[in-house]
Amino acid sequence: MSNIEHFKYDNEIVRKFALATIIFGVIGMTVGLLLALQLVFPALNFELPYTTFGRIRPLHTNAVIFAFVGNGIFMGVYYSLQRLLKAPMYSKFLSNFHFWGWQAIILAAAITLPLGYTSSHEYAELEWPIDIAIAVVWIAFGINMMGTILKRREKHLYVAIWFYIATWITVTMLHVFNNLVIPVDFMKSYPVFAGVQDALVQWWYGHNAVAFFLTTPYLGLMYYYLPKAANRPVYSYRLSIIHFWALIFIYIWAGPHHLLYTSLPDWAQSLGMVFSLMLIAPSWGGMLNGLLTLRGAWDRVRNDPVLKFMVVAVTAYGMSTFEGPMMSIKSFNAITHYTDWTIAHVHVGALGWNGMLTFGVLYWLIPKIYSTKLHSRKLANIHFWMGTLGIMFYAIPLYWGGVTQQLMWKQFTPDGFLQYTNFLETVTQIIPMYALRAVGGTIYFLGLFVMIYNLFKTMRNGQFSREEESSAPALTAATASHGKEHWHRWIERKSLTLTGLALIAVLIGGLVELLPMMMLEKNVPKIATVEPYTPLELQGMDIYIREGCVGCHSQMIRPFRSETERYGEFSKSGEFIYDRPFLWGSKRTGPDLHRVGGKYSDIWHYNHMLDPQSMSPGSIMPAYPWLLTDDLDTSTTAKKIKVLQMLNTPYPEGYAEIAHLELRQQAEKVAESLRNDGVQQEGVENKEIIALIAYLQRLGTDIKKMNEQAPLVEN
Amino acid sequence: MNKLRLLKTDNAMYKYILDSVNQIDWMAIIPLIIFFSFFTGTVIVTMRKNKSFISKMKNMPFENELSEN
Repeated sequence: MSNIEHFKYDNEIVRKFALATIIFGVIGMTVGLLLALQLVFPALNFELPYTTFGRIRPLHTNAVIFAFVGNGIFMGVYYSLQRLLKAPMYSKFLSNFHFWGWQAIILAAAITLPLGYTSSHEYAELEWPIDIAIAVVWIAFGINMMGTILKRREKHLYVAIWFYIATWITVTMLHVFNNLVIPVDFMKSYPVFAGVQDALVQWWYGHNAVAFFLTTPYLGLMYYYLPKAANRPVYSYRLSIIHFWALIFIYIWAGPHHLLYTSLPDWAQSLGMVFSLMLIAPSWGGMLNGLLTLRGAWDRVRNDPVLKFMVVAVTAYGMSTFEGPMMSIKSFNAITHYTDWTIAHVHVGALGWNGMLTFGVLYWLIPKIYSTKLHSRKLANIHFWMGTLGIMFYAIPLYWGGVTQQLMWKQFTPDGFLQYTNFLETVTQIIPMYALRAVGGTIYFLGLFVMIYNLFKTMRNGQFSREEESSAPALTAATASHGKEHWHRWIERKSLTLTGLALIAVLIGGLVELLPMMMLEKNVPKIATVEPYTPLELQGMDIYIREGCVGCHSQMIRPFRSETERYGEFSKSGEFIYDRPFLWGSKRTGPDLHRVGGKYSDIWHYNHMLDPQSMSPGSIMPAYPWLLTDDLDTSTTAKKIKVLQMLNTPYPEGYAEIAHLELRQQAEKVAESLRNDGVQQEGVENKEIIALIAYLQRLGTDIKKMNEQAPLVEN
Repeated sequence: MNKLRLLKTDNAMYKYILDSVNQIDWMAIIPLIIFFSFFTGTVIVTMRKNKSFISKMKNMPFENELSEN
């Protein structure tokens, strides 16, 4: 052929992302290990704001999801995309902008999260200026990817690329919707949605962050790297197409399964549950497609560490995508939710599916771009076993602990009273399980260093090819050689149409779920006695958000007898209409706090925040001494009130101007009560603790005013 | 007879569930219809693809094998 074109694949960008995924794997897991140990040894919170569990938990989740897995995705995409399209990346500048921009965002997250800047939306904690930066970098990646697709030399798009495109388009949509906020100042904002609506949007996002950041891009990688490593094509290409469309269509509907038995309307919960169950079909279709690719080659799995990692990854994918739908069944969720079962579940996904696949790809890719062989198969095998056993030692104790704790929460005596009335009893019971989990995590973590040494030696042995020469005929000639036009081929060639269709597929579910919630007032029944927070309580709520209390305490009492006995009346959606953001939480390492208002005295909270163990011996809650010494920043009060007024919170007109006076008055009252109980701290009325106490004492009390007049719920 | 009665009860329950979602009962039906037609469409289109095309697509990751190391 005369029109053969010569070009060079860019390996430099692949190597950069590969190194980043390794480095952030170490960092993300180090923080994870520290968190695991803090639950066993609370002293490891170091009594410093920057190292407490509540603040560094989002640091761990963000580092693992967006830094470790994120860089892993880009490593895999940049290598495979160029080769599948027979074209170098559209723009080297955009590749590098993407790389450095992404690392800068990670750095910003690593600084701001320990400082307490958080939106409190799980996996979307970063504040608005960083969100904008994420959007810019993500769009740069999108332009680079679509540009490469448009100037490709291969007419058809391999299914892996479809997964990459769906990832890009859906993450863009989710990121925008879940971060619609109005800034108060440079690092503080309030979401435009409140309470139950905010919860729905957040979990529509949160669930699909799992779907379209941790799953679809990795499925794309599986469809490319597993056949490459096994040296045989995927088992069924037809199945992969059905897998793709069914998966992206169904996934988007499943978000409400994070909110079962909450104040979310029942119809939305049921919809989420049904679609979650349906998800088993495409997920297992994909898993089987991956595993069956190895049919007739299983003997090679015994010898090839790359395949071993990939087989465990795909199996972990199968396990967690079976477990997820099971956990979405309401009666099953009643047992697993708020417990460590959820933590075990996500780690089977993160350590098993994402981690092991990333390692498999690294062991395959690094020798490739360094034109050499892997330094030591033996070490890779050792790493494999450390990884696999690490996951098991991590997950099994947490399953055990989760079930134990939930059973204890629900246990009644024959006389009909809660058997374990003190929540703390159910925590101390499972601390040995937390210790075992830390052991499992450590094994997995150490395995990482075995890989780093092995890959480092491999790099030393080889010669890095910054660019790789290749050639292919230009696209026009290939088009001419084809005969009959086929509908689906037309779609693939029209890659932008494919992108549009993928967007429609994911939009349908989103719109059906979200629009009625946003538009129908009656979905959030108002309760007459529920009023906006006072300025002091508002500041207290923002401290609660800053310290990440939501990481361990829910504010959502489910309608079970075991919960209403323990915490009080179950939570109603109308109680949250002024909560921006909603703070329902998803894990109870400590008790639910929705009705904590009035339960304890002010002095109890004061002493408890200073030294939790003094009030609750054996508690694993960190101490917050700085809340007693730091002055409350009231300079933002007026601004906050104004922003909330813009969002229709019914503060009286001109309230922003007098808010600080009301704040002072209420602070004085709380301080007075503390002084009456023997607190002699000078200037205590100006401290942050006052605002936090005011907020905690307000929680869940509005509804009680109504109950004093007439019972709200008839039984 | 028993079977008939069972069916009737089921029907009544079915109605009750839909009634309980007030004026948004279309939401229970629409997703089902959309998904069913979408899924059926995908399966039909995929199954109608010819073998040589599928085989070409399958082997795409190996196409520039020669130019690789």
